[in-house]
Formats: sequence, C-alpha cells, structure tokens
Amino acid sequence: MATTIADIRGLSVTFPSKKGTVRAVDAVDLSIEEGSIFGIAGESGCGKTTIGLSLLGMIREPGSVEGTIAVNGKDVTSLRGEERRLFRWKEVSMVFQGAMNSLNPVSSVGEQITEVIIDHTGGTRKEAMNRAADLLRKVRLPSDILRRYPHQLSGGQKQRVVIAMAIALSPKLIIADEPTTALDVVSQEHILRLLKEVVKASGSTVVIISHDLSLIADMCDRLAVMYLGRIVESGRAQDVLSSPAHPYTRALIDSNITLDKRGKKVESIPGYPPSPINLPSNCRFSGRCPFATNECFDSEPPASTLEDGRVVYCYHPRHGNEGK
Amino acid sequence: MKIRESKLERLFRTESGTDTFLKKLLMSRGGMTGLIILCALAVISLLSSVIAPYSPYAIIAKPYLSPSSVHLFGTDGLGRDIFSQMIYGTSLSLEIGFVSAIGITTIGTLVGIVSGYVGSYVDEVLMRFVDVMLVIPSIAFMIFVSTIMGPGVISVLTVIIVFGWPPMSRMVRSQVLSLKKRGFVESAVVSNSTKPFILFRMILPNITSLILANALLAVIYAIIADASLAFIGLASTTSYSWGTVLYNAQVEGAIYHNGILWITLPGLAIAVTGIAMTLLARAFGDITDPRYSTEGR
Amino acid sequence: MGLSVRFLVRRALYAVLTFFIALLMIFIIPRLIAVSPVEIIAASQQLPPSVIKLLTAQFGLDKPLYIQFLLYIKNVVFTFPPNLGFSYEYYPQSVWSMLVISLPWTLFLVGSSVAVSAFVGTMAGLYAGMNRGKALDKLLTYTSMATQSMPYFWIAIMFQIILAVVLRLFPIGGAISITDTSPVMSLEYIQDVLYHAMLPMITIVVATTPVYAIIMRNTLADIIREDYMVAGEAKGLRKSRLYYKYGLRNGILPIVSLIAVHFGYVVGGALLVEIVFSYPGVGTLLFNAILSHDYPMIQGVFYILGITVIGANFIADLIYSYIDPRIRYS
Ligand SMILES: Nc1ncnc2c1ncn2[C@@H]1O[C@H](COP(=O)(O)OP(=O)(O)O)[C@@H](O)[C@H]1O
Ligand SMILES: [Mg+2]
Repeated sequence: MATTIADIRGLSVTFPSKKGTVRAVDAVDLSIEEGSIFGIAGESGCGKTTIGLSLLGMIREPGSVEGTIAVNGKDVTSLRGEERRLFRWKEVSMVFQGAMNSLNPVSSVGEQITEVIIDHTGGTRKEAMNRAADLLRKVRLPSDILRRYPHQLSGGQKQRVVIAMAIALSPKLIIADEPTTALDVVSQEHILRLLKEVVKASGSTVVIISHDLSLIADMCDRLAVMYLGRIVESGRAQDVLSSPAHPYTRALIDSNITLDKRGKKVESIPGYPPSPINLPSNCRFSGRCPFATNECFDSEPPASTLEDGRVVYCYHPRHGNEGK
Repeated sequence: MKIRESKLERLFRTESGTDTFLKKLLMSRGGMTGLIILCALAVISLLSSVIAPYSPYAIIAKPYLSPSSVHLFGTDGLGRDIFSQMIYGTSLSLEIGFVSAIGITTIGTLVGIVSGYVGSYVDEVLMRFVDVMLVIPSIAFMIFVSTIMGPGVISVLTVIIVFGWPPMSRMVRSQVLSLKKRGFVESAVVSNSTKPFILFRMILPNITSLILANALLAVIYAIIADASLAFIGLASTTSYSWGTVLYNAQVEGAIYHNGILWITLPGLAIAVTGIAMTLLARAFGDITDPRYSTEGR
Repeated sequence: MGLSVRFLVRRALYAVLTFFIALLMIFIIPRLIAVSPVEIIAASQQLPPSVIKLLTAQFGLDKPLYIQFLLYIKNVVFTFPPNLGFSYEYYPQSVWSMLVISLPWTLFLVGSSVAVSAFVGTMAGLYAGMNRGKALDKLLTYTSMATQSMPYFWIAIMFQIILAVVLRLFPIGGAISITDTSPVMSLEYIQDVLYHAMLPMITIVVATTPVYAIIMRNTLADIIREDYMVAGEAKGLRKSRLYYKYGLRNGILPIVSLIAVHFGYVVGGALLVEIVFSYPGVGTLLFNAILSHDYPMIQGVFYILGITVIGANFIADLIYSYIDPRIRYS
C-alpha cells in the first residue's frame, strides 16, 4: 500500500464578504498517495484553487481555515514563521492559475528562479544560476531566457518558466492549477506532455486542478469532483469517468465543457450553481439535478462507498447512468 | 454602547440605496466625527454675528493684549478682538472652501466625464492640458495670478478654482474609463441607449460618492490655498478669513507679543476642518472602495 | 543599457511642450488681466507718462501680441543668460542675477528635503502597506490626515515657535549666521548652513513624508493582491526579498512619477516655508517682489520655477524608464 503524501480532513475555508460568509471549501476530506497524479475537477468557483492554496498554507487574512491538512506528515495549518516559509515550495509548490501574472514583472526570469533556490538552500548565486539553466533545459527553453523579463515572453514560454520554477526545489507535491487554461491549443498539448514528462522524471506527487474533465482523464490516476466547496465524488479516474455515480459528474462529462475562464455557465447543466454564500443544508446539486427527490431537497446525503472503492455523496448514486 | 448601535440600526433599517449609504456613513466612527465637526463649524459661521462679541474690525482695546476673559484670544496689533476675528473668519473660510469646492467639482467632473467618455483626440488634448496643469506648481501660479488680479475674495476664488480642478478631472476620467469596461455599461452601449442616458443614469450615479469624497477634500484644499495666499498678503484685506488672521499674526510679530494663541489658532482651526473633511471623505470613499480602508473589515 | 529611445523622445517633447505652455501662461496672464505689464507697474508705482512710453518701447508693447510673445521667447529661451529684465526694486540688478543667487538655496532646501522624505516615506509606506491594519499603518494614516490638513507654512511657524523660540535648538531664520566669515566650503561653513537649514527642512520633511508614504501604501494595497505577490509568498521567499524585490520594486514606479508630479507642490510649499524662516531662496525673493510690486522679478521667479519643476519631472521620467524593464526593453 502506497503512503499518503497529503491528507486533508474536514477542511473548511471561509472568507468574510459584504454579503455574508463565503464558504469556498466546506468539510472536504481528501487523501493523496505518494507518486500519484491526482485530479480535482469542477466548475469555476467551486473551491479548487482554494484547496490548492490551503495545501501551501496560503489562505491569507481575513480568510479562515478549519480542519487538518497534513502534508508529508506536517500539520500545515499550525506552521508559522520561518518554519512555514521553508515548508512552502520546498515541500509543496504550485503552478498558479494564470501563470502569466504570477511572474514578477520587474525581475528577470533568471533572478526569479535563482531567488527561490537561494532563499531555500542558501547556495551562491552562481550555483543557483547553473541550476536555473538546468531547469530551463528540462522545460525545453533556451538558456538566454534567463536574462529576459516576463513581458518579453510568450504565454507558452511563461508557462514553461513557471513549471521550471515549480520543480526547482524538487518538492514532494506539485499543484498545477489550470495549467493550460490561458494557452492556445498547440501550446496546451506541449505543456501537458511536458508536465507528464517532468513529473515522471522528478518522482513528485502532482495535483492537477482543472475544470476540464478530459484533461484530467488524460493525466490522472485518481480524481475528486467538486461542487460548491464540497467533494461530490472521488475515486479512480477510470472508474469515475467510465461510470459516473453522481448526477453532477454525469452532467459534467455530458456537458463536454468548454467553459470560458470565468466559467459563466455550463451549457448543458440546467440552472446556475447556488452562491457559496448562505449555502443550503440539503444536497447542493438538488436544484439542478434531474433525479432529485424529496430527501435530496431536505437533507444532505451522506457518503456512500461503492464496490470499486469510490466515495460518492448522493442519495441516488449511479442514477445518472440509468438512461444508458 | 451595544444598545445604542442597535437603535441606530433600527432607525435606518429600510434598505433603499440612500438609506444604507447614510447608515454606513453614520455607523463609521470617522464619518460621524467628521459630520459633527462640520455641523459645529456650520453653526459657528451661521451665528457668527451672535457669537462674536465685537466686530472684527473695531478697535476696542489696547494692542497686543494677552488672552483674558474679556478677550478670549487677546487683541491684535491695532487692539482688535482676535476671538471675534476667528469667529468671522470661520464663516469666510468655509464659504471660500465650499464655493471653490463646488467650482472645482463641477469643472473637474465635466472635463473628466467628457475626456473619459468621448475618448480619442478630445481625451488626448484635455489630458495633456491637465498634465501640464499638474506639473506646474499651482500654489506658485496662484500667487502669480493673484498678484496681478490684486487681492480680494473674487480673485482668490478664481485662482483656486482655475488651478484646483485638474486632479479631480483625472480621478473622474479614470473612473469613467473603468466603468466603461464594465458589463452593464457595455451592454447599454450595444443596445443603443442614448449617450446622455448612459452618462447620467449609468455612469454618474456610480461615481457620485467618489466625487463627493473628492469634493470634500477640495474644500480643505481651497481653505489651505486661501490661507497660503493670505499669508503672503494676497487675500482680501477688507474681510477676515482664518488665513488673514494668521497673516496678521505673522506680520505683526505675534510670537514676540504673547501671541502664541493668536498665531496657533487659525492653523489649528484649518487643521480641524481639514481632518473633519478628510474623515468624511474617507467614510464616503470606504463605502465605495473598502480596499484602502484602515478600519478592520 | 538600451533605454527606450522612443519613450525618452516622447517625454522630452512633452517637457518642452509643458515649458512652452508655462511660458505662454507667464506671458499671457498679466496681459489678459491688465492691458500691459507696464500699466500694472504704472498703476502701482505712479510712473510719469514719459517713463511709460520708454518701457512700452522696451517691451515692444506697441507691437502685436504674437510678436511680443516671440520677443519674449527669444529673450528668455534663446538668450543666455536669459534676459528677464531688470528688478524695479533693486535696479540696476538684472532679474537673472538675483535669481542665480537665490535659486541654489531653494534647490538645496527642496532637494535635500525631498530626498529625505521620499526615502523615509517610501519605506514607511512599504512597511505599512505590507502590514495592513497594524500599528504603523494606523499611525501613518492618522499622521497623514493631520499633516495634509494643515497649511504647510503654519507647520513651519509651529516648529519655529517650539524649536527655535522656546527650546532655542535652532536659529529663528536665515541661511547663515551674520557673523559667519569662514570661507565657503569649509567645515564650519557647512555646519552653519546645515544648522540654519534644519528647521525649514524638518518642516518640509514632516509635511511631505506622509504624502509619499500614503501613496506607497495605497499602491501596495493593489500590488499585494497581484498574482505575482501571492506567488512570491507561496515560494517561501525571505521577507526582505518580498518587501524589496516584489513590493518596493513594483510600487516604486508610481512613486517616482508621483514624486515628480508632486514636486511642484513641494516647491510651492517651500516658498512659503522660506518666507517664515526668512530663508534667502526664491520664495523670499518672491515675497519681497510681491510686497514691492516688482513685476519683472515675479515673472522671473515663475520662469525659474517652471524650468525647475519641469526639469525635475523629466529627470523622474529618465529614472522611471530606467527602473521599469517594461520600458527599458521595449
Ligand atoms: N480571498 C478570497 N476572498 C473572498 N472570496 C474568495 C477568496 N478566494 C476565493 N474566494 C471565493 O471562494 C470560491 C472558490 O474560489 P476558488 O477556489 O478560486 O474556485 P475555483 O478555483 O474552483 O474556480 C469562489 O466563490 C470565490 O469567489
Ligand atoms: Mg481556480
């Protein structure tokens, strides 16, 4: 049995807002096996990025975190100060959503890669520079990129730089948040292939966050589908995708989603997700679910485990497949 | 304390736009303080002839008297009552402040809206001009113009307004630009709503509180500008603003004649007014854009 | 360094344009309000008609307005030293010769004060902005509210009363001791100059530091939300690196341009501060010129101020283009 690299228990993340408290993530349990590729899928705004940031201990004030997050045996929520600083990136790194904007516009690429290395390993600038050139080679970029500034790079190049940065310290866990969203189709291909390759070489565990199920199907061993801050279904990627148990997963697959970045709506799922403020205390999908019955509107469905080990939160699991 | 708050809340329970606005203003400690000071100043200026024991021009005692119960702040170099001058000064300073602010706000808003909304070369020309006006040391140019126009309230108002509107127009323009990009205005443009409709019913209401906040800051800008002009002898010599009192204190050597209060009070009055305006402006600003707020969320 | 030539040419043209508009204003405003400068002079000095005639000829006032303007441009731009006319008060001293004596004092005062307050303000704003809602942030907000609400010169008077009259820490006014006979550039001389400059400098620093600090703080309020800032924190960078390479380096850009725009305001305020402390700079020169209706001198002062402020703005543009890689390499 493989060891668990990241274990999340009862994680809730809330943000105060003018209209009320936003429950971005609500009572989520997740465990991620070492060396695997784990996928988190769901419509935009369902809390995927927030989970990623929680793993890094990066929920900023005034947001608040409940529950436990253990990464590599460390309790992330209780890390503070220097300990937390060194934990970040050394153990968990992240390819941020919108990598385009996650580079410091006033520093050169070389500076930005070396600063991470220097601040964590304390080596000399020269060593760090060599390592940076090495990393660029791994992501198939020429080393003269080191002297360039972000505004001089193409989208695909920036994405590669960001990936290079994420593997710079060979972290145990790499989170890739919508790694291809802002890219054109050709670059998407390249980046995905690169990501696979890099991951294999590094032996890191990877969490891929995407609203695009086909991408996740392509890359991941296991996945969790999220809806409005909750996990609705999780299990082996193959199982979930070939026979979705939760009506929402079914809908996601059917919708063949081509969401825009802001994810205004999923065409074929009728209705809109309710707002993460003032969440209902029934099944969150009930309002949009074609199979909803009275109990769905009344109370939250408990977790049920299917024979293939899948966990699903639904009163009528596999209902979505009946038509097939 | 708790009970008082909930009473206040009940007073403004209705959720119509203005009510929530007023409620928010009154619920913020700063906004409330600013409002109280402003009201007090308004009362002083309206009742100045009642409050002031003497005419500010009347020579009623010996020169350079120290503060006493008869002459609260003492007398000036000619033997005139400084307390009375300060009271009358409140009225003129506030008038200059508010009249200038109205002028500055009107011109600044108009130029900003036209520049931001019309765009293209109109925007280019207007903003180049504004840039130039911003670079030029406005207080120095005010001095220049009023030396030529000669002292007096009209010339003070003119120069303050003429040199005061450019920052306002910048601010309004950038707001209009960012609103133009927002969905609801874009869709109105697409659906062929008339320009005046878009400008006055969609854009203007969205920036009123910001304009108001800046108008309040313009008041203090104008009062300080008036004091600066007065300080080099360019304000009206026939009427008293706080600046005039300060100028007299300076040229008549108040420091050497037990006149610490005399020279301190006018500036203090300006500072208090300024703080009130800033607090109010900040309360307005926080309501629209809480990002810069210091009060915890 | 491949400074962007296009950017610089554009800014230089822009500085020249600003300068001409300023000149036009200096030239036209007296003529708009009164009929001619000579009349203003005549009204205040009651000159005999024969002298008026002479002055009219000297200013070319019998010629059309645009010829007068060209003449003015020729005199003040294409002549060196610029022919700004003669001071009425100190005739036969030329306006230029008096400006040349006063300007260095003002530049010294404003330059050193702005250097100090820009540095202190930027740093304070940086720390306040990176630690929103904490003690420094609150202190800064209230200090700036107070200093922004006070007339600049009144702060000067307060310092004068407290630090010079009551505590006798600094001289009440002037730029050097009357008794100072030590040679220029000797240690004693420099000490004496600094000693006298202290109060006006403190005033300007106190009045302007919060301005820079607040601008920096508010700029950081936006920057701190940027993705690269979140990423920087996630990367576990040292605090100093986050502050200086991320916060400061990104926030400094608006600061530089605002320092430039603000320079006019600082200079304007400094003029009044000079008057309070009888500091022998351009402000005191202007004050005396206003008292004695010395119009050529007043015009000259604005001419020199225009050049100074526009020049400072252009220098700021140079710095800006140097520190912003998006301009440097484009
Ligand atoms: N810092 C924050 N402050 C307030 N609300 C937030 C913040 N971060 C995320 N949210 C809210 O939490 C919800 C989940 O956001 P996110 O995790 O970014 O979703 P996803 O990555 O799945 O698109 C959204 O409704 C979002 O508006
Ligand atoms: Mg996201």
